[in-house]
Formats: sequence, C-alpha cells, structure tokens
Amino acid sequence: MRNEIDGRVAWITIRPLIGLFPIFLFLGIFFIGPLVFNLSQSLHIGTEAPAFTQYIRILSDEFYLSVIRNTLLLAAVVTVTCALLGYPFAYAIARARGSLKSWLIFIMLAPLLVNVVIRSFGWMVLLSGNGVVNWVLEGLGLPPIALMYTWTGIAIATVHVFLPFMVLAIASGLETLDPRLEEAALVLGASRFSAFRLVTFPLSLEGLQTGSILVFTLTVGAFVTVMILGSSSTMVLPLLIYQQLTVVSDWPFAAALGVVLVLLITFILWLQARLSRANWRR
Amino acid sequence: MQTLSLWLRIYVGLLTVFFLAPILIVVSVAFTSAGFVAFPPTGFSLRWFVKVLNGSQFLLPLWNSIQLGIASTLVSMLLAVPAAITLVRHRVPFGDVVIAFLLSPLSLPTIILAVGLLFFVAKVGLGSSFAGLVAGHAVITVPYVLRTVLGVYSGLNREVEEAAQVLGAGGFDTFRLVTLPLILPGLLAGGIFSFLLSFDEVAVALLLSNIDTTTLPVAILSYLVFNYDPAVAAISTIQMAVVIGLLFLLERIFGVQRVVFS
Amino acid sequence: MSIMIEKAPRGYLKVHDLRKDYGAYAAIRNIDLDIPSGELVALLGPSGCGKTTLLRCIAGLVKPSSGKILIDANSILQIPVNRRGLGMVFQSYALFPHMTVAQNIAFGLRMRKLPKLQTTRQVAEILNLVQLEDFAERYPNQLSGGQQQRVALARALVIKPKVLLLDEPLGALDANLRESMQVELRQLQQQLGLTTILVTHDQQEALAMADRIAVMRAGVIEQFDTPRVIYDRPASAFVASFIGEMNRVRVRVAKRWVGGVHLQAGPEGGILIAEECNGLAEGEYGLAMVRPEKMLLCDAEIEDGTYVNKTDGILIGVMFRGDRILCIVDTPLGQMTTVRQSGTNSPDIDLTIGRKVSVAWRAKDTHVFHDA
Repeated sequence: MRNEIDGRVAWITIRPLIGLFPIFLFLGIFFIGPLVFNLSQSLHIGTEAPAFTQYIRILSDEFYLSVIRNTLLLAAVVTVTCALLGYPFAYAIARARGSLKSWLIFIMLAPLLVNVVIRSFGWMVLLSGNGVVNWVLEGLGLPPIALMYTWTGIAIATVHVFLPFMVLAIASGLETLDPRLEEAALVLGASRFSAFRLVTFPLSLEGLQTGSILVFTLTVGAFVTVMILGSSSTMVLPLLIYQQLTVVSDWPFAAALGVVLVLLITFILWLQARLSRANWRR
Repeated sequence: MQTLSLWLRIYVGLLTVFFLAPILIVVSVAFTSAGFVAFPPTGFSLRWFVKVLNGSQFLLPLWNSIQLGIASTLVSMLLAVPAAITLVRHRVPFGDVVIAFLLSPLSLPTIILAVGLLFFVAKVGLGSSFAGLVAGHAVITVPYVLRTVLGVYSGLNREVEEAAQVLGAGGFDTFRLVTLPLILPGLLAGGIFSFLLSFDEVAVALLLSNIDTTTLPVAILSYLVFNYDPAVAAISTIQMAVVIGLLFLLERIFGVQRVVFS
Repeated sequence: MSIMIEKAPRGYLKVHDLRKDYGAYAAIRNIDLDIPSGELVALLGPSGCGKTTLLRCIAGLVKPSSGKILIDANSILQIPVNRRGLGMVFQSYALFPHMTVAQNIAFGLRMRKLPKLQTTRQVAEILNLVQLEDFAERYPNQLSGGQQQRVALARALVIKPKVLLLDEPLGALDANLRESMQVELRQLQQQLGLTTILVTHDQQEALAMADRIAVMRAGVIEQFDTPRVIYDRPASAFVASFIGEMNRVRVRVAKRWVGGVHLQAGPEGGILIAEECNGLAEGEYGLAMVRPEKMLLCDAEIEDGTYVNKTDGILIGVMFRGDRILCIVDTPLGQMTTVRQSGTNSPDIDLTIGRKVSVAWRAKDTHVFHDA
C-alpha cells in the first residue's frame, strides 16, 4: 500500500499488522516449537544413532502396524456411527423452533459440560459386568453382555463423546438451508421422502463432511476413553504413545509414533481439502 | 414442515436418553449409601460428598483446574482479539493461509502437543509447571477464541468504529468504548468454550503437571486407576455443579445464551 | 425552531488536484473543489464514480495518493481523522447500538473532555433542534429509520464541526420521508450556515438541496456548477442524461456556421437545427439531446416560428403522473418522450393512442455532445 504523502512506506504497511505479532510469536514458540522438538527427537537428531531407526521399527513390526490399523478402524466405525445417529438429531434441531430448539441444543451440548474422564467413568458404570446395561438386560430376562474392555464398549463410549460435534456440524449446515427449497419440491409433487432425498440431503452433505472429518480426526487422537474402558488388548496409537513415554520412557520411539499420528491426520485433512475442492467444481 | 414428525420425535427421545444417561447415572451413583458402585443406587446418602470434600485430594486439583482454565482463557483472549481485529480490518497478505495456520492447532491431537511440550520443557525449561500448562492449554484454546472473535467482529458494522474516530476517538478509545462492548458477547462465548476445553483437557495436564499443579481430570484419572468407587461420582457431580453454576452466572450477567445458541 | 441557533464557525473547504489510487486503479483523480463557507455541495454520480472515496478522503478515513485538502487555508492532510473536527453522517447512521441516544450524541463532547454539566446542556439543546427531546434514553434499535437519522445528524452537529459530511444520509428512508427530510436538512443547514458536502446517487436530491453540484463519473468531476446550469447547460452527454430525462438522437454534423449547426439525423431523419455543437467538427458523429419538457406535442402546424425542429410520428403511450402527463411518440428519429403539465393553458390536443401527432422543439433546446 504505497503512500506518496508519507514517505515511510514500509512502516505504514507493517504497522497495522502489528496485532498479529503476539499470536504468531506465541504459536511459533509453543506450537511449532514442540512439533519441531518432537520431530528431532524421533530422528535422533543430536545423537549418534541413525536417524530413521524408530520409523523402521514401527513399519517392520506387525504389532505396531496393527495398532495403527485399529486406530483407523475405530475412527472409521465411530465416524460412521456418529453420522448415522447424529443426522436425524441434527435435522430435528434445524427444523425445530422456539423452546424445543433450545432444549435440543442444550441436550446436545450437555455432555460437553462434563469432563471426558467423568463421561468415561459413567460408561464404566453402564457397561461393566454388573453395570446398568446388564442390569436392564437381566431385568428383561436376557443374558448379560461383556462390553467392558472390548472394542464395542470403547466405540460406544467414544461415539457418545464425539456425537455432539457431529450433530453441531450437520445442524449448522442444515440451518443455512432454506426450508422453502424442500417445500418447493413438495409443491412440485415429491413425497416427503423424495424431497428429502433429492433436495435436502445433497445440500447438507457439506456439513456432514465437515462433521465426519472432525470426528475422525478427534477419534484418531483420543486416548482417555480407551485408557479407561480398554485393556492391553485394545491399543490405539495415542495410548501407545503415552505408554511409551511414561511407562517405558522410550522418548524417541514415542516421538516417532507421534509423527506417524500427525502424518495420518495431515493425510486425512488433505483428503478433505481435495474433496471440498471437488465439491466446488461441481 | 413446522413440527417434527412422530418418528423423529421418538428418535430424538431415544437419543436424548443416550446423551444424558451416563451423566445422570454418575450423579445418581454419587448419592448412594453403599460402599461401592452400584446402579440403581441403594439408599440416599451424602457420605461420598463428605469424603471427597474432606481433604485436598480432589479439592486442590479442582481449584487448580479453575485457575488454569481462567489463565489460559485470558491468554487466548489477549492473543486472539488483536489478531482477529487485524485480520478483519486489513488486507493481510496471504490472509487465508494465515488464518489456516492460526486455526491449525484445532486439528492436532492434544497428545502430540503434550509430548512435544514435554520435550520442549525438558530441553528449554519453562520456569514453572503452571506456566507450561497455561502455554499448552492456550495453544489448544486460542483457535476457538480466534474463530469466535473473527465471526463476531466481521459481522460488526465497520462504520460504527469510523464514526467514533470522526467524532474524536483515537485508536485505543475506539477499541475501549465501541469495539470491545460490541464484541463482548461473542468474546465471552468463545471464552466459556475455551474454559471448558481447558477444564476438560487430559493429555497436556497428564504429562506436564506435577504434584502441586495436578488438574481435576488427572486427579480423577489417577484415582480411577486404583479405585472404583462412588467417590469419583461425587467429585464428578461437584465438578458439573461448578461448571453449570459458572454458566448460569455468566448468562445472568452477560446474556450469553443467545450467542451460544446461534 | 424555538431556540437560538449559533452560526457555525467558518469552514472554507478547498480540494486541489486530489488523487487516490488503489494499485493501478485510480478511484479519483484531478479533483478540484472550491467550496465557500456555508455552501452545500452535492457529489452526485452512479455507484463506483468515486464520490464516497472523495468524501472519505476529506474525512480522513482514506489517505489520498496525492493532492491537497485545505480547510480555512490550512492543510488537513497531516491531521489524523480523530482531530479534524468534522461532522459526518454515515449511510448506515452508524449509531452506537450499546449506547442510548443521549450517550451517542454526547460521545463527541466526551472526547473533547467537556464537563458533564455542559455536555448535558448541549445534548438537550441539539435534541430540541432535531425534535427528539423525549428520546434521550432510548436505544437506537428502539427508533425508526427517520429518528435514527436525526440522532446521527445531532451527533455530528453537536460538536460544532467546521464542515459537515453526509454519505447518502437519506438513502434508507422511504420516498415520502425522504422528501420531507430533504427540506428539513436543507433548512437546518442554511440556518446554521454550515459548509456541507452531500454524497448522493439521487439526482432529485442533489437538485433539491444543493447550492452547487459536482457530477462525477469514473473518478473525475464532469461538471461542477449550480443545479440550474447543470440542468440547462450540461457539459457532457453523461451529465445531460444523468440529470433529468433526455431524448436522444444520433446525429452527424452536416454544416456549421456562426448562427448555428445543421445536424443530419439518420438517412430518413432529416435535418435538426441546434445553436451550437460543443466543438464537434463537420462530419463528426455525436448525440443530440432534448429535454422532454422542451418538446411540444402538437398537431400538424405550429404558429411559433422558433420551433424549427419538427418530426411526425404516432402516439404510442400516455402516462398520467399526477401533476404532469408523459406522452411517448414513435418517430423516425426514435422514441420521443414529451412532458406537459396537466391542466395548464398549453393547447389541448387529443391523446388517443395511435393518433398521428408531431413533436417540435426549438434550436436552442438542442444539446449536442460527443458520443461518449
């Protein structure tokens, strides 16, 4: 932005941007810094050991690969479940009015008011051998299910933790949708279901996509629920990292696992960017 | 399409049960008179609340969590507000890239940040454990506050600030008397969310806290490793009450409800 | 007005060769304005013509690339926006939504560190002036559009500015209110003797309120003169058609001599006569324009010999507008619109659609321009 009256050109251009300095400085030190440290730890920088030892270790051991697989699998299952369960609720929120709407939003946000540790504890009570679920089943004369320490139990609890995010994303997308579009379809002769299928649903896909990516990345990084409800046979990548760091104290290995996790997330986000660009081209 | 169809209502009801069940169960277990976790709770008693409130095993971490939440939220606000104002007002070069970078901590699993910070603190040091916690939490929460303030500030009528300037207000006065009051509801909503995030956070707290700076989630987690009794339910109920109380207070003072719901 | 109104301090505004570039794009250039104290000047033009940029340069919200702006012979360019002592009313009124009407108005006085007692008094006086005495404790969202506009005005006036800047202040009001506000605003401005610059895209507004109008297009001032002169003697085709209505015909200069010009209007159009042709050379193409109210609708013969331009046609449309009647005639020269006052003593003529009629006008009412 040249300014011929005031000769101090560069100063004029930089000064308005000064508001960005603090945040850049802060994130540079406390966000990029740790990431860099993480990376350098994983590559044994500053030590004698060869750089990629840890990565080779991860990629050559079936156990670690299975952990990565399970992490992704859990994330996929949780995401799909959240999408299926969450969509109707989001639709209800978008269509509701007045106090009903406020209540629905409150119900959706209520779990977030509670600590994830507490929520997981709640699921312990529900899913354990003599927990609520089995208590209900017993009452109905059905055999008890072992859900504690199983992938199923973990998945259920994780769905509960992240469902609000999915619902929020889809509901935001649906809110911006003009209800008159669906009404127009009805007037033109479509059935309720067809109107939804052909008009509303396609237009809501962007919100659905946002929510799915969000839940997927959150699940990939989640470990508290798995820690509380799982056992040594249900291992996910974040938990492995934590273990390696605190129990085994193998810092370089933990760092390398962390880098793998970051790469996974980056890949997913890259996928999302490709997808949304494809959407726009349509 | 004014009301919801019957199927939808039924579904919503079922999902509501799903949403609220764990929470309600925890609260009810807290009031049990039994010595162990059982549902339905046998009898009504406050013994677990008494146990929890006596002694600092949980109360100190609760207080730590509150302090940490407030500190990291304040730091986030101080960082995010000038940044948001700058981004909206001026045509920043590569503005989209800048915003993407500033929001990127949102996508990062907190465990990575925690691990990285641990290495960072080990090599560089930070003076105090509390400072490390605040820094870590601020990294996590600042994107939320930034996003909120960006949304609120970009919706503001820029002419209002210009009018203040023409009337004689300098930069700081304009901010203090006009900009800040108008973004305050949104800023507070972001702040509340940021506080809850920090209050809830486990990974960074787990790795960076020491005996004195343990946060509540970490304390409960440690307790759960060795114990499975209604004490957890009691402290959980207390925590919920604190949070709900805080929200209620803020709603009373600032009427934040509208912004949160929008 | 029941109270004594002080005359505003002197505010002689001069703009010299002002220019504002955004990269390669010149929003305004070669802007020269000389505005004596107490005059109301309208900046009139279509959107994008630079009028708002010019206003904001004067206010200090935009830094010009080159040129000078002086108030009372002192350059104000080095003075930051919050010290220029100008008054401004924004298009959106820009009232502070979190302050009451009284607090809004008091804001400028508060910035000047005026003692509380005086502030209260002056706020009360100005509320009286704009007739909003009972609204002091209301909030902007409790006011109607017209009331908000008056608060915005009061807020700008209470600080006794040297110059008042108005950015399309009446744009958001509906038609009736707008007209009455135009009258009120003009009266107030004259009573205060306050130098005022009004940005508008509404030519009626400019004609009604301004002492002089600067018609702008694409960043330059095409004509700066009184409304009368701009209307009767437009300097360019753009000004001619932007202000008021114009009938237009493409012509070619056939012959020029001292007394007038002969213009060839199309192959069958025949010859039109004008008194002058704005510098067009013989053989050049141009636009001939005539105001509808200068075109006489008549049957075959006219007695008045000055109506030398005449063409025959078919009456294809009649539109009653209350105080006047628009008649649309299809002629070989194109569609012509004539305007006659209803119920006047102009010769009564049968207005059946489809009738053969003629339109005629004087040589001196033919404006000729370059085809722009």
